[in-house]
Amino acid sequence: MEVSFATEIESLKLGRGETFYGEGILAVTKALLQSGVAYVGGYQGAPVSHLLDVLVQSEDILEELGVHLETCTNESSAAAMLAASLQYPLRGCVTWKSIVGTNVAADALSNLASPGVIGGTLIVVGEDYGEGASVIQERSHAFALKSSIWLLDPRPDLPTIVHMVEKSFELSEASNTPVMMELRIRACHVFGSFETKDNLAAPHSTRAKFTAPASFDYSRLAHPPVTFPQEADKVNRRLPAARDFILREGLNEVMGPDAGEGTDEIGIIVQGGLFNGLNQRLADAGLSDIYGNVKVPTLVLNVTHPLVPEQITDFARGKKAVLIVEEGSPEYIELAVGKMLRQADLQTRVHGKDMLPMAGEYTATVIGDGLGKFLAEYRQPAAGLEDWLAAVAENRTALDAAKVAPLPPRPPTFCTGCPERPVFSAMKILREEMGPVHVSVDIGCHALATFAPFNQGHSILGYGMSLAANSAVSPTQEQRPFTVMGDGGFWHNGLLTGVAGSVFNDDDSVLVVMNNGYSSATGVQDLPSSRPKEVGRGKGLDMEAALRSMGVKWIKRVDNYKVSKVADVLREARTTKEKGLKVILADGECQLARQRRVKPAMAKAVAKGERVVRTRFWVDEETCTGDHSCIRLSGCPSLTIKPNPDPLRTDPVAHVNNDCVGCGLCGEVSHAAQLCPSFARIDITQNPTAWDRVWRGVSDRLVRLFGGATEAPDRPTPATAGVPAE
Amino acid sequence: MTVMAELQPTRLLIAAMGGEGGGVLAGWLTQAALDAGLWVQRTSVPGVAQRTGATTYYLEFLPRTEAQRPVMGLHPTPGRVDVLVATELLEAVRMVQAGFVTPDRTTLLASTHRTYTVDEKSAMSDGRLDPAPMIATCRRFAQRARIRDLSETARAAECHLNAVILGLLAGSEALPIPEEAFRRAVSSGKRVSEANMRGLAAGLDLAREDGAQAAGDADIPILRPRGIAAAPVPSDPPRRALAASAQTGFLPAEAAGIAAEGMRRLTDYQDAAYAEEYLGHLRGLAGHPAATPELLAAVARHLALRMSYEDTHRVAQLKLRQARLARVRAEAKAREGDIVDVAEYMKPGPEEIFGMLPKGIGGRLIALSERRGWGAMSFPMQVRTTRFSGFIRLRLLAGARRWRRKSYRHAEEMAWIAQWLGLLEAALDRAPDAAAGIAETAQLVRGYGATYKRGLRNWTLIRDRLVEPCLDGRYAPALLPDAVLQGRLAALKDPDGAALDRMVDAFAGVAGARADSPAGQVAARSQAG
Repeated sequence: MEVSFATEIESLKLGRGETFYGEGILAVTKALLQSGVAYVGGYQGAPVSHLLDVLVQSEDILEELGVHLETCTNESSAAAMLAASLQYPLRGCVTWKSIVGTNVAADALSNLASPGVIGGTLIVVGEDYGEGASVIQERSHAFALKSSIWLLDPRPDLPTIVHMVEKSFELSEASNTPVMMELRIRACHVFGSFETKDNLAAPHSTRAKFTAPASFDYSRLAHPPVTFPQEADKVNRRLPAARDFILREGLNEVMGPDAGEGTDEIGIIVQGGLFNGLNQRLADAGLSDIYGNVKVPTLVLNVTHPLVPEQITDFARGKKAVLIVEEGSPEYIELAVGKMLRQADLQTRVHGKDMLPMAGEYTATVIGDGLGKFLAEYRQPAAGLEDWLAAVAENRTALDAAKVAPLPPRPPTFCTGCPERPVFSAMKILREEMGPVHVSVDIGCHALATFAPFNQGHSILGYGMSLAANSAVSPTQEQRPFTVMGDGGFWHNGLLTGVAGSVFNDDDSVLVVMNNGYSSATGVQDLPSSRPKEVGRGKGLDMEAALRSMGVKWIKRVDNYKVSKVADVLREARTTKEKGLKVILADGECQLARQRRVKPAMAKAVAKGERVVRTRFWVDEETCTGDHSCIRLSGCPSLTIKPNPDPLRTDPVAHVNNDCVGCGLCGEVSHAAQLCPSFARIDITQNPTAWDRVWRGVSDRLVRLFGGATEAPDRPTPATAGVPAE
Repeated sequence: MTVMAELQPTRLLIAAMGGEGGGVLAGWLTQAALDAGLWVQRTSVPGVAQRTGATTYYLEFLPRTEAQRPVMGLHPTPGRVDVLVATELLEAVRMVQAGFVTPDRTTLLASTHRTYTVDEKSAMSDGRLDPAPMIATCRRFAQRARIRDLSETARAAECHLNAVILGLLAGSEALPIPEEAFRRAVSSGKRVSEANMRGLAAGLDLAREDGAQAAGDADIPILRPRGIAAAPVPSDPPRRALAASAQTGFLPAEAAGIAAEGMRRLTDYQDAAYAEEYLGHLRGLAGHPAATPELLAAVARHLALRMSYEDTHRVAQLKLRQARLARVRAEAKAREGDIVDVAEYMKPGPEEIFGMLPKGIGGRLIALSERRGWGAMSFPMQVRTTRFSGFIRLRLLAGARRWRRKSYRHAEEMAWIAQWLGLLEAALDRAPDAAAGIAETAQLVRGYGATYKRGLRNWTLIRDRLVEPCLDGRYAPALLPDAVLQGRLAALKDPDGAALDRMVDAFAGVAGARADSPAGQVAARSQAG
């Protein structure tokens, strides 16, 4: 971790009556400390990474409160942590990105939910659904249902989120059931404020330890025969207990006019997380305002599982119809509500996915359309909403008529100077040289090589799964396939599901491990193999040793930036007669992390007057012929194009802008692919020593002697750019 | 609309690219709003989009008129965005297309500078989108559009774009936040810096200009009522018209100018005699009755480029130019007193090395290296032209160009040029409309190593499968103009030549069929004869 969270950490120390300002996920972190948690853990992933990132740097707070923090190696180890609340009255929280993280955690979750918990347990899942999502689009709701884990989906408003975090521990303890809270991307990143309370030290913690272990109690194990009574206990005791608590504490909010007044013949049931979007459209329709004073009875489900039948039926009773605003499919809530109304023999009609789409994020327009249909169906005046929908449609027509040329996409790409880009340049050069091979891809930054200009990859089957995903492919291929995995995926589970499996089965495959030293795509967190530093938990675990000890014979290390060398090793791996797993460790530190460390250090050194050599690359516009092969092999953001200065040429020339960090890829590529002599490395020696100047002076004199051109030593030049704002 | 009368938040959407400082900008805006005592809500969808992908930040602001907490939106709403900020032109248009910019309310603040997408950058010729229609679209759909090159302002102020944008927002009065609040936000920010304050000031100045102009004139380009098309912004600086010289007077104006430049180029490349040769070729062609001014201009341009082919001598010569040292210094932002060194990445292979040798021996060696498969062998070197050791090596290579005209490479190039000119002559006789197109095919032959080989391969394919069959009457010459154009475009579509292969095969099918039909044969014969 090269980022500092100093300001965020301060906000975690706020006490009673103070005001917290910050993003949703940090508010959750503060709420955990206010709830007296004894342990926190998880696996990083957008949008919940910050929960852990900030705590990792809050050692003093954790120390003071006696909170144990575990930065887990994957989600299933995070879920397994919750076992502490199985036998002990410890409150704990773990977090990860859903749906993928929940999938990985599934085994532990089932075995936790069956016996249930004594201490309150909360699982905060970042719901990576809709715009900006980087995972498959599924609902965590299914896991809550199948394992009997309660699911919260709070209104995206900081006081509500914080209140729900605190209540979820009580709910968990009142019903001996783990609780899951899903927070959508925008809710995790929403900036707001709430009034804080003092942090609470847990009665039992790393500071106040248990003197003796819990007594042996077979009924607390997820093991037959007690699993059968546990199944019954879930539905006979825990479920009713949870429903009582939800009603008693008013976790779900019933809004709108009291019976008899206002519009009471229809109602809306909405997932808490979607309320703000719904309220905007109701306001358009004249049925609410900016303060959420809705004029249509609305049941806001901050708890989406379990539903409380009497709450649902009471709400629906006497209404012509209810609209259920529920994102994603299947429509679990709608189905459950339908059943409840039927069993209560209520004739209230249930609308939902018949008016709103089955799939996709419920954006402003989507909710607007659905609500419009519903209000029209029941003849509710909604002039404002209709006007808005009409205006949107009209604007759309105007846009189509304007015939704007289709815009090229701008997907994420490797950062400037990224150490993974050169490996894919080498792979592309090899592809052009020896023809294509099957490439099994993994989760991580390196998955960006599926976009232009590399456009490679045949399958993405999960985090650390690429090698396993290749096991049945390679035996069917004449050309030996490549498998790509990051060091993140390697430690997440690639080492076991991939490497062990491959060695165990004598698979003949090639694994390229991107050893950039961090879990970069999730926000540059430390991994077991990250080098130890002042901050963070890097232990410098040795991947090569791990591989050897697992019986991998063929292991090669490459310096990513030496493209020709990387290509040679890839070629060898592809053609060698040697059977079995062949692993290439591609070494190169994440440039994002490196620059965060190096840039300030360099600036400081220069200011102090020390000798510093800054390197960047440059394209000679006179020798560049504007074919752009170099760009097709790199795609570096700082390698771009500019108008051709040659009056006889028309195609734009390649150009390196000042974001260049001097990684040298473009020069290496033009070598490896025998492209052109237009690339040059520029070394700027700042605060040169007397020796530097003398040496250069001698050289210059000689050059001039042979009729060469040299620059006047003290020509004025523009100053360097200001301190980066990002 | 009744609801509109009610208290509404001011809604701001920022379209940016990951890593550009959009997050910092959104942070400053939040801080300023809090400072101004407003309710503010900010959200974003960074995800992996941090990695230079397109991303957005969304903010809502509301005055604190009541104790009750407002319920603010997390999603930007089409038709409900008051201010749209775009850090780049294409991203601005993307937002317009998404419906977030509407004539009834949206103030659009965007920078005209382009950060080219990979698709645009990696095209084999010029894949850049024309900015003029993009700007027109922005102006047409915004209520107020303030569009100009903010990256230029940032460069001038030596700061980052996000600070300039903040200043522009502060001065635009589009947000209910006083100027002072913005200042305090930047100076109390996480990363306080002189550069950011400079950017803020620069942005505020721009806003004042806008204000002043707006007051003065209703129809200035930056404050344009919707519907009126924008003045096109050229993606390239206007090219200076090349002046003819006494020797090139015999050519039509444009061609004469280009030829004059060609003469200069080739005299520098080799010598005056070589330049004369160039002029001789042009005279020959200009004499032809069917030669149009456009054709002559195209030939003058491509002939000059092909005759100054990029061989080792040329590269060495160009890399020793005084001018580039200054360019390098400026581009590298070297400060006074810094020592700047340039290390050239060069990798001569058998073609480059043997190509410099006399025709006979060079030819034999190259043939040998092809038989032995030495093609991949080459000698990567980093030549420090700013140091004597490197300088002297290039100096010798550049000097050796006096023997260039005896070299194998030269013979090859001259043979190619002869063929190309030959085809042009033939076309002028039999299919004059195709001549200009054939001239343009020279664009394909350029560059070094693999690029050069690929170009030559594609050009030869076009000659053998399209041009010659049409000229010798196998196919109807009338098909040639379109065929050559399609062929050239196909050759520029993909690096592995697949598109061109498909195109020539398809053409053979169509043209062949037509040629077999009696009418086709008559047509062919009459035009061929």
